[in-house]
Amino acid sequence: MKTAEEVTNLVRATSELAAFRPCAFFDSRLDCIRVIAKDCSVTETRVNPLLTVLEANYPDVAGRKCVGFTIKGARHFCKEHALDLSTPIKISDLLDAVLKAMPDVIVEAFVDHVARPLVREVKIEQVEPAIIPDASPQRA
Amino acid sequence: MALVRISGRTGPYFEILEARSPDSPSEKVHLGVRYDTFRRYATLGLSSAIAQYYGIVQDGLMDAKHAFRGLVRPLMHNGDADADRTVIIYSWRPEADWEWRGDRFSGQVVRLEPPTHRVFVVLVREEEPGEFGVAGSIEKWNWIMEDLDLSEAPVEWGMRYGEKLWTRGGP
Repeated sequence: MKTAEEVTNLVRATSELAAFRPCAFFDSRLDCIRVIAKDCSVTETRVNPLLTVLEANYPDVAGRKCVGFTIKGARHFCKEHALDLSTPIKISDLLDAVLKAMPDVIVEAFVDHVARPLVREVKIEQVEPAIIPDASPQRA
Repeated sequence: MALVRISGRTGPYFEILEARSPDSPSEKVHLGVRYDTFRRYATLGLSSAIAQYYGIVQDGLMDAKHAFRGLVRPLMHNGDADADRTVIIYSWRPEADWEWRGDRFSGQVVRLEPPTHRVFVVLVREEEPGEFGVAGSIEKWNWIMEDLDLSEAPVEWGMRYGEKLWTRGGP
């Protein structure tokens, strides 16, 4: 197993490594929208087949546990809710669509009491379109 | 088992790793991490995910305890509405977790005890092996709660995934 120093050096040597900033983007290869508020180790907890919550594995004592979420099946979801994934989508419009698509007490509580305050706090305002083109030979 | 790794850019791949075949854990396949996938992690500043790649995925993928095929959720890719069926999921419980602490320049990776009752999963999209002989692209890796009944498997794996392909050293 590598040492922490070895892994640190490998990370530092990663080309184009930028400073983290909270972000929301369309992951075209896994067809989902990822909202990430903190760079840390996370556990992905499934709320339902469309919604997954990202929870920090080692939260600060005073820090929040939820550090992001994922909306799966984004192409179909956005098409159903007239959201265009090829252009930036307002995060508030996305969350409104989540509530409309999943009228459920748990989802409503998550959106209103976790997701909206989270994106407001870290100033995520829109979902960026895909930054990686679709292009890979698929297995038949 | 010897670990074969082809570092450095090879076609669209940032790196090619050896992994256990979805068809049989005693056979090997080559899986690639796409340059674009790794670049996305880098440009977003997701240093902890990169640290987990080097600390867990790169050396630990061969330690996978289980393999599953198919995500039970909508996934369209390259116009294929059934792309969820071509995703392989490897899961195991690694010996450590890794997280970046601090800023881009003065920060460092810390080695941590793995979170309790969690397993690590790596998602791979199956591909037709082309000129580089790569059978799939490593798309994503993260922790998930562990199943109560099947050690080192993700919670509710029967609902999450289409089928279990194999378990090493067990049923």
